[in-house]
Amino acid sequence: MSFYRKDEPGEEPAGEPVSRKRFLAYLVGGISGVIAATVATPLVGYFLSPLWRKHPPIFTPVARVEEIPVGEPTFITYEQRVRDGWYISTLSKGAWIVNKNNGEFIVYDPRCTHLNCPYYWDRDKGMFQCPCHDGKFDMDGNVIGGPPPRPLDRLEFTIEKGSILVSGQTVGEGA
Amino acid sequence: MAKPETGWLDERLGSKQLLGSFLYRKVPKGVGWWQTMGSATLVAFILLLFTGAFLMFNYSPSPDHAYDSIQYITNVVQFGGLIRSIHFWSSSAMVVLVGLHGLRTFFMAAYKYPREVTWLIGTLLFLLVMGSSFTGYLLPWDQKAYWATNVGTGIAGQAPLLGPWIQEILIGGATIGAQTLTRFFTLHVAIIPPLIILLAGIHIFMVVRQGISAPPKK
Ligand code: FES
Repeated sequence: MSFYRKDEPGEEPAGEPVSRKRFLAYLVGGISGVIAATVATPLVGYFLSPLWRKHPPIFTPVARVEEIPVGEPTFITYEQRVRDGWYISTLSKGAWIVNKNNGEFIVYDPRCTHLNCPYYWDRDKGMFQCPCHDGKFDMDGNVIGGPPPRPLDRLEFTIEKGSILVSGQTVGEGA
Repeated sequence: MAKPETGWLDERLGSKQLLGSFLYRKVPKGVGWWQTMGSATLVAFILLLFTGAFLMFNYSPSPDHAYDSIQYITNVVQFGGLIRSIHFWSSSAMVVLVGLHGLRTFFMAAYKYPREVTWLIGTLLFLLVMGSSFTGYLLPWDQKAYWATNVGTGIAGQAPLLGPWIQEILIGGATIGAQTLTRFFTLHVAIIPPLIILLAGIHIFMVVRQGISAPPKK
């Protein structure tokens, strides 16, 4: 690209690298470009921000540690607060909490891994029993009978000051 | 440079001629900053269009969620606060600029023959800008928004004869509530902006076609 433009109208002193008119055009174009980019950057970032937005879970207290007897899975219900953007809704949920050796807790999703039926704890046989298709799980969630394809799903939880808090997220399966 | 890089597109779109007739216009002597107010208004409007469209991604025009969704935009969504601020300040700027633009046109008598139609369209545009400001003010759904709309629609209600009807049409019911919010929202985002685009398009076309009027001699 030549800096010596001869096709511009108006007088143009020979030897001047860029004409005044050209220079101004570049200047105006450049400033406009900077302004446009300044506005466009936040707009694009705003639109794409779901990609890197964190989704901090809301932990709901569901039970006190001392309420869960050792070796005796206990069913609890709670209201899970769910954050969906500016919208916070509550879902009624349940969970089975197991206190294995006084202090070692497991929280199970209360739905059978076969077809989501709610299962129950059979105290006499010492196992979880699903009424729908006779699925059976032991206290560690392992399948010990029936059609369920995988061990019971576990829920994310923390223990704070003697309270068990559940986020509603599934963290894994089996023992 | 016989063949500029834009040759291929230009051959098909005639873009150079189009852009040239838009940008390289003859302007009369004595034209200065006062004649830039219209363009400045246009810039503010373009900013408002883009930021407004993006705000709509996260805005919920219902009494339950309007306030929360705006708090969400402002505090949680990345760049949300910035985009909302640009929308806010551009709207204030647009009102000031469009006012200056109109006053300039009036005091320099630029509305006279043959530009009366441009002037009349400009008057309509001014009203649309006012309507856009008024309807947009309610959308944050906070105390200020609510009471400003209460007062604003109350003023409309004071008009002789038709006043109460006008007020009820604006509010969409007997009291300011869910229906007022959706009404104002729809006017603000779906009715007024297209009208402004249409009328401003004609307005600007007329300015380009007729040229800027020469400032009066003192
Ligand atoms: S749903 Fe539990 S065994 Fe089928």
